Amino acid sequence: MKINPDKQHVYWNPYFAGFLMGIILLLTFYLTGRGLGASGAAKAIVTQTVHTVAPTHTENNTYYAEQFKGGKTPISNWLVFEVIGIVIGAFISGSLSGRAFFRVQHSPKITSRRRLWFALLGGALFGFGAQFAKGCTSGAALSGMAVLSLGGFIAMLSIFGGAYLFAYFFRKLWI
Amino acid sequence: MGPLIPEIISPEWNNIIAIVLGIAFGYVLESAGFSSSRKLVGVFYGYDFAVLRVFFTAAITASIGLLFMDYFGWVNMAALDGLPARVYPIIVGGIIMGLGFVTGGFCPGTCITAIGIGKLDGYVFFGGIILGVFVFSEMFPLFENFYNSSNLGDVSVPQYFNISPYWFMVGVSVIAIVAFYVTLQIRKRIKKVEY
Amino acid sequence: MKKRYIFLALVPIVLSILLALLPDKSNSIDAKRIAKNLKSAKYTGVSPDKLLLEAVNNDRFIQPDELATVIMGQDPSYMLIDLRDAGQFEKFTLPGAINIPSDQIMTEENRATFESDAYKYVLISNGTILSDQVWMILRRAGYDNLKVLNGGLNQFYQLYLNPPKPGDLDPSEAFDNYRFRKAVGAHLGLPNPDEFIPGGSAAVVAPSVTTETAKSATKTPAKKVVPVKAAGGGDEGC
Repeated sequence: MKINPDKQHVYWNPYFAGFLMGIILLLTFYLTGRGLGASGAAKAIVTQTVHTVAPTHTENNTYYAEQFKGGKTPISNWLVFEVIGIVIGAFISGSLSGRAFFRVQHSPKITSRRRLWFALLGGALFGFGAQFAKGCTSGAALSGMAVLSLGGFIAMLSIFGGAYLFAYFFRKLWI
Repeated sequence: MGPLIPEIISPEWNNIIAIVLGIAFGYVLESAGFSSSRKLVGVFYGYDFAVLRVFFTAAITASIGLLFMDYFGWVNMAALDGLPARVYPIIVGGIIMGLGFVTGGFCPGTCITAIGIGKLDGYVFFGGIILGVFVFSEMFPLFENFYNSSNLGDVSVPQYFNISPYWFMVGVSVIAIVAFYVTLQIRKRIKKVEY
Repeated sequence: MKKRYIFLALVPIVLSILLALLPDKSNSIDAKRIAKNLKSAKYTGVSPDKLLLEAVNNDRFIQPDELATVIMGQDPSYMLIDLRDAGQFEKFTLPGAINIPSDQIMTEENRATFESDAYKYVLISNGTILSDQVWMILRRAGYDNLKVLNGGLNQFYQLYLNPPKPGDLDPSEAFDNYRFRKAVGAHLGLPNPDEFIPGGSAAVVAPSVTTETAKSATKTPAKKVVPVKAAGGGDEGC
């Protein structure tokens, strides 16, 4: 397929994308009774890995042990499969518009190395925070808001509030 | 009446449906530009409000849709999985996530779309999430009391404030549209950032 | 601003207003809230004529045997409400019962007890009259899922402390019934009349479960125990 470099930065109309995403979310709720999410998959990966390495350790920690309740295996969690789907879906969309290739995206004012360190830091913070709230932007805020859940609205306000609170200090990373 | 799993569709289909819905979700996320961290954080610096637009539109579409389905009896909205409102843990977690958002430039869902199109910062961000989850899980006994505190249960906002969910929905729609309009005006005033 | 955006912006608002204006939300997410508000509001419940109709039929009664089945099965969908005063409640009550004295039935806290749709509320007093009065008050205020224990604790006691023995000509169900009642009596810790020691306190717990067949074989005349004693002293007979 011919890749048109001009298409790289052409994204869908946000309202159109949002509408489609809402329909997908609606369908998810209708089919499975639960919302979409992402951070749960990371939790499953961590728990499964720790369990493989040190099974007794996971049994003693209530946070890990909770995920094994009823003979479940965390890695066969619904969210893990959904996340695999997201990777595939993103790849399809990315390759159709010529965005799928390996690179580091960063502001011209910072180096790749700096960007990666901050990505690691940000990821760690996000992973850590998502456990407190029991979900991330998609799992807690978006899916929670869709069912008008009080927790979802609090999560949305505090994530965006927190980001606006700290945005000023990290402006050099982005602008 | 929904949800279709497990009564109408057997649970074996659950994982296949998960992948299909994931593909659709990933496709839309990527097409909306959510695989680009600089586009995502634009919402915090005023040069790109795509996140806000997509996010709010999706939430409104889904909840109006669910309210209609609930009204026609296709789905019992009260029985759907919401987020248990553990007020303070969610606020603390949310603020930590906000900090993670402006430093890392992704949220977990969008970082996975970035992985899909080969962004190395996405891979590193995901590694970070794994690290964060691991640290949290190991430290969990320390937070256990806080984690379970101030739990109001899985209540909805209209239920909590004892208002009609439909009028609440009208309010949310109006707020969203005002937000769309205001952010449009803000973006016009802020210097464009090429990314 | 483009015209189509204005149009698009109107779509969610119009749709949600439409939802708000649609009639009859009986099975929707909002139904519970509306019902609850009705219950909380003073005297918006059942109209007097409807209440009168309900009062003359016996649907509100739960028979002692039904209640015994509930107690034995520990059915979580029933909430037993003891309407007698705290002193009597402390001396004796049925397993799992909670105490709401009849004169405090309309306090805010106690009204909240009746607001859940998850339970059937069984109103219990020594007789039927007090329970019936409370039933009338609550029903008028709009609460539902209310049951009245027919005959009250007194009859309940008579039945399980000293169940009428079936005669030789009675059908086998009568024997089953008899055995069930004996078993309930033992479960509730009532003294077994066959082994009752005269002069002993009525609160003496029956010594374990003896085989019922053996019991019916021994034709010792059952000693009369005054049930109201155990129920904390008979009062006005309600």
